[in-house]
This record gives sequence, C-alpha cells and structure tokens, in this order.
Amino acid sequence: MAELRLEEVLRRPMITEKNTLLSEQDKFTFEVHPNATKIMIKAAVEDAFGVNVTDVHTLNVKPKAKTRMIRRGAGRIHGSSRSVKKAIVTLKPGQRIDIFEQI
Amino acid sequence: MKLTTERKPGSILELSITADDAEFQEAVDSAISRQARNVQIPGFRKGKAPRHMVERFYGGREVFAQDAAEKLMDKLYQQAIKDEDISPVGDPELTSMELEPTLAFVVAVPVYPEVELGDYTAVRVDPVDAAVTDDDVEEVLGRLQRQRGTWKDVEDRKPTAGDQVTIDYTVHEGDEEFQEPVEGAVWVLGETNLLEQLRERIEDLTPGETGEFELFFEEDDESADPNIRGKQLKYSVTLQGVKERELPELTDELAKELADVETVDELREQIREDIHQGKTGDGRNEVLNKIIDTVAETTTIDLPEAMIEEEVEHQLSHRKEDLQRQGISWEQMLMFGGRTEDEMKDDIRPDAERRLRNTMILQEIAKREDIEITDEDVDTEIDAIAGPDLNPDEADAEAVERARRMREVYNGDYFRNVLKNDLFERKLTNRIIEIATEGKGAVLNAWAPADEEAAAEESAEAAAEVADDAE
Repeated sequence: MAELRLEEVLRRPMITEKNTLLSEQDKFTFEVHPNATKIMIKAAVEDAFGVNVTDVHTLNVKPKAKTRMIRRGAGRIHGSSRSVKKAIVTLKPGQRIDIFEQI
Repeated sequence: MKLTTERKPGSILELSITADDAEFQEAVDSAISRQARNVQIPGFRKGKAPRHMVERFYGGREVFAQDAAEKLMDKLYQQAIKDEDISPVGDPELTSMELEPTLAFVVAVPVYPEVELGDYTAVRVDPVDAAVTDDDVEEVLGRLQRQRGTWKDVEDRKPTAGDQVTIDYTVHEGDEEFQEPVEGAVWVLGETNLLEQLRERIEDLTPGETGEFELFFEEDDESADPNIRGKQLKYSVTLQGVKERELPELTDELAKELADVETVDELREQIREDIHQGKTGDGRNEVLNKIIDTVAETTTIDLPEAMIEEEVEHQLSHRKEDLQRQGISWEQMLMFGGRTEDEMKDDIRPDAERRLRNTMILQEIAKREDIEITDEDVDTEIDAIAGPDLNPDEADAEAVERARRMREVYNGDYFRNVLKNDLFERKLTNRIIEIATEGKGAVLNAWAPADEEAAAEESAEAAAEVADDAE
C-alpha cells in the first residue's frame, strides 16, 4: 500500500450540531482518508493547524443501502451511500481550530 | 435615545431620534436570535444552529441591522411620544433613516394644531329681532289657504299668474321632433317651474287657442336646461283649459281642520307661536355663526393634512349613509353626478376644513372661559327633565313607576354623556353670545315656552328619542 501523503489525510471538517457540542470539550471532527491511521491524523492536524493533539478516535461510517424507484413501476435501482471515515481529535484544553468557526 | 423635535408648518412635528449604540446592538442581537429560530443550516436541526453560525450564514451582522431598525424605531417612537407627551392626530411618516454608525431616523408626525385664537371678547354682534309681525302670520295663513284651495274652470279669459292651465304641446328643432309630444300637462303659472319665455306665450293664449312660436335659449341662460341652451326650438302649444283658484273662506271650521283649534284667532295665535319659535332658533344660530365666523377671521389654525383628510372621510361616510337610507347606492350617485370619489372629496374639503376650524375655535374658547360641566350639573338637568320625585302615597302607582323608569333611562351612561355634551354646548354658546352681544342675548323678543311643563315635556320627548336611537 502506497504511503499516504500528509496533505491527503484530512478531507474536510464536519460541522454539525453534535460536533459543535463536542467542540466545547476541545474535540473536533474531520472526515479523513479511509486508509489514514490515528498517528497520521495526529501528525496531519498538528501540522495543518499548529495545535497539540492529545487523543484521536476514529470510526468508519458504513454505507447505507439506498433504493430508488424509476419510471413508475418500471423497476428500482439499488445502490448505497458512500462510506466515510471520521476522526474525532481531542486538542490540548483551550486550543481551537479556526475553520470550525468560519465556514 | 437622543431626541430633538422641530415644529414644521402644517402642524407637523419632526422628531429626530438617535438610538444609543448599546440600544441598537441589543436590537440587532435580538433580530439575529429571532431569525435563528427559523433558519435551517446543513448539519443542524432547524433553529438549532448557534448564533454565530447564523450570522455568518447570512453574511454578517449588517444584514440584520435593517430588521433590527424597524423594531427599534417603533419602540423608540412610542417612547418619544410618551416622553414628550405628544398626541398624534395621524400616522407618523418616516422621512429619513441611517444605520451607520448607529440607528438615526427622522419621523414627521401630525399633531393637534396650536390655536391662535383671535380676540373673541372684542367681537360685537347685534341681536336679531325675532318679533313676529302680523304680515308674517297672514303670509303663512295665506299659504295654508292656498293649499286648501279648489280649482274652478274659467272661460273666455287669458290665464294669469296663479291660474292652473292644461296644456298640450310639441317641440321641434327644425323639422326634427325634439321631444315626445305632451298632452294634458297641468301647470300652475308662477308656481310650477316653467321657462319664462314659454310662460309669457301661454299667458297670451285664450282657452282653446293654439299658438306656434319659436324660442331661442341663450348659451348662458341659467334658467334653461343645459340640453336646450343655444338652441332654436319651435313650440306648438294648445291651451286646453284655464282654472282659477278658489280660496276657502277663513272660518272656524277651516281652522279646526288645519290645526285642530277652535277658532281662526286661535289658529293665528298658533301660527304666530310657531313662527316665533322658528325665528328665535334661527336667529340664535345666525348670531352664533356670525360670531364664530368673525372670530375665525382673526384666528390662525395650522391644520395638519391628516386631520382634514380624516374629517373629509368622516363626512363622506356620512353622505354615503344618508344615500343608503334613501336607497341610492354610492356608485349610482357618482355616476349620476358624473364625478369621481376623489372629486367629491375635493368638493367636501373646504366645508370639512371650516367645520374643523370652528370646532377648534369653540373648544379653545371653552378652555379660556373655563366652561365645564360637572356631574352635579347633569343631575340637575335630569331632575329638570324627569320632574320631581313623586310621592308614592299621593300619585298613582303607574305614574310613580313611569317616573322611576324615566330616571333610569336618563341615568344610563350613554344618556348622561349626551346630556353632558348638550349642556356643555349650551353653556358655551350662551357664554359666547353673552360676550358678543354685551349681555343683550342673541335674539330680541325671543320666544319662550309658555309654561315650564311644556318645555320639560318637549325635552323629555327629545330625550326619549335619543334613548330609542341608542337602542
């Protein structure tokens, strides 16, 4: 497996109601590359935002089956949503990441 | 809030209001919060997005300034009105508004105008003489007689004023028939509204004779219908018959028929009384109007447009109601008069303005003369109308009950109010007349009710009517 480059690790910040609540506990959530490891994520976040990461949790969001009707009675198309890997990064207390506060 | 006021012509008060910075920011904050409750941002349930995100979602605080300003202006305006003790007589109008650096706006609000009253104490008006002459009485008597008159055929005589004529006629313009031929029209010469030229020609005919003549109506002949002005018309008129009026003899019987009195002398007396009463009332109004008009000449009232418009609307709706009662729709009326509603308003306007002025003048005088009506005054008036309390032992039960119920009606809020207004007006106008006539009174030889009871009865009747109307 080819080594991931650091800038490929983080894909985008996930700003949702739940994650905004977590940010009060210095936890910030990113969507990351499916192959990224916790160590890589830590390095990537520290490098990109100049903060100290104390903890990283990751999880894979499994694709959901999506079925869609086409042409009234003619049939249905089966498919699925894409899979996503999320990383919840805990920072040193009091540190913040700007992009979460300015979309 | 900083507030400065400036008075403009037309009784417009200009309020320049500047909001404190904190005040404005608070308003913006609450505007954002208001908005935040309804906004849907991806990743958040509706209304759950944090405030700073809502702000950014819309592109910054400034976006909310307008919304905030509207709310705040309303609040500040109300406060200004209260602080400055302003009583607006119309809707305020926003003339300018700024949001930077903080909310500053100017509103123009129409207020009750200052009444610069002319010197009403210097106005002098001569009283009107209400004395009734014998001629006045005879004239009315004559009119009554004529109403009772009968018509008798006369032969071989040309008709004169006061005669009734029966006429057939046709009208042509050139060879064209101008209007449908008329047969058997009955006119009374000098009483029916006839064209003067036509009447002269008719008086020239003997019964049975047909006259042909051409009449020309001048363009500016006010007595002719507009559609015949400037036209040369050919008339063919046949005088079918002439009748002469026979007046009934003035007898006691006639007097009885006319007015339910015993003798002609009594009839005369009653007519005299009626005329006298009418003249007294008219005279008083005439004097009063003269005084008010004179005061109005030297009084300046800068009426605000809003008040005039309101009064115009008021009178317009009155007229509409009147018409409705006569069973005519407003649209019909407009069509008939060939006028638009706006034109009608322009017509009403001068009158509306005059009324407003006069009302204000009266109010101002009332203020200066300290004219007020107390509850006790109203009580006294009610006693006067309802009569003294009846003693249950002496009067019969029905009368006592009736008196009690009368009192109840008079003591109702509505009627007390009517009485109060009535008394106020009477007191005020009496005072004005007293000043202007130097105590001589508006009317010389004024009519006075023969006895107290009759007067009380009369006002009681009027009161009952008012009470009926109220229900």
